Amino acid sequence: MRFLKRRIFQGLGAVLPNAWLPGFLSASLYQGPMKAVCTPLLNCYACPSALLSCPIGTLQHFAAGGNVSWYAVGTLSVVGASVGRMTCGTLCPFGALQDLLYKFRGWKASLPHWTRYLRYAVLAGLVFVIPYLTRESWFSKLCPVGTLMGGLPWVTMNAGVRSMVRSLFWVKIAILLFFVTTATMVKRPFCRAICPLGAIFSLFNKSSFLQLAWDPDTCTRCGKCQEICPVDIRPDRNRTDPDCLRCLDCTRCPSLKLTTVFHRQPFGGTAAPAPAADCAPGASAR
Amino acid sequence: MKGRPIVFLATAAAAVSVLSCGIFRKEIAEVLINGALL
Repeated sequence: MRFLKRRIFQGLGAVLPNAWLPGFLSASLYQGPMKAVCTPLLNCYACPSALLSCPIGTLQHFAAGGNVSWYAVGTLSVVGASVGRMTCGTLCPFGALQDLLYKFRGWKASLPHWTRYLRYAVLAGLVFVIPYLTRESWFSKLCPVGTLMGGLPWVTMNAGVRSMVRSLFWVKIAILLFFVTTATMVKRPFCRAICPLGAIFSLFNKSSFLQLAWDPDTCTRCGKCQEICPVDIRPDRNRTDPDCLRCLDCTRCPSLKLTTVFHRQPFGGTAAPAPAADCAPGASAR
Repeated sequence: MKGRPIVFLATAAAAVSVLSCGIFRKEIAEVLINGALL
């Protein structure tokens, strides 16, 4: 049920920020007041149907002008302080796409641990430093979400844009294809290794209002939580892991539950020592 | 663990302050223009 709820939320996260359907019919961008709102998702604001602004695009725009967007930083900080990376796990449409791609049968691999630090380098380099030095929004130029939601629709439906296609567009297509292909083999490669928005939100996982609680008394350390985790982590080893998307898939196990930072004994302090049935070896996690 | 609520409250206060600063500097207008006139 919780898994289905997440799929519904991911669907809403894809549809609602891109609900300006006249944009596709008239081949024009939405220019109303909602574009002043930064969405807490990696949602391209160059998409013809986009209603809201991309926070990473906004940060780059200000960096290219030699400024910091306190409004975008503040918006992301408020969301991060409230729910940590939960928007990545429950709302992000590109994350949902990667979740679906990983369901393809075939060869699977795990991402090396060091790649999780790349997203901080991308955040610092492509979102702040390089835009500041070059006056160009370089992450947006290469962003696979932008290619999927902005570049491809515009090139498909507008001959004028099509005539402007240069080599950079094909580089963007190659980056998109790389992540789409990799997502069939590795759990959420873009979110874990590259996404600068995820890098910002992951800084708040330790101190956010919503927290993941783990009960050591009932946990059998069976590892089923890692199997169903969309980012391949063990919440029983580190429940404030910066990679944790707070998708709550692992809370199907009774040893893990969502709680708040003020809740000192989320399991009541009298947890039964019996092993959790859902986590017993051989039990199905799905 | 015990200090986590305090860290949260400090983080939340800082986040709201930064957001208020952005709103006070009237950045919303620039965000709107940037988003609308890409």
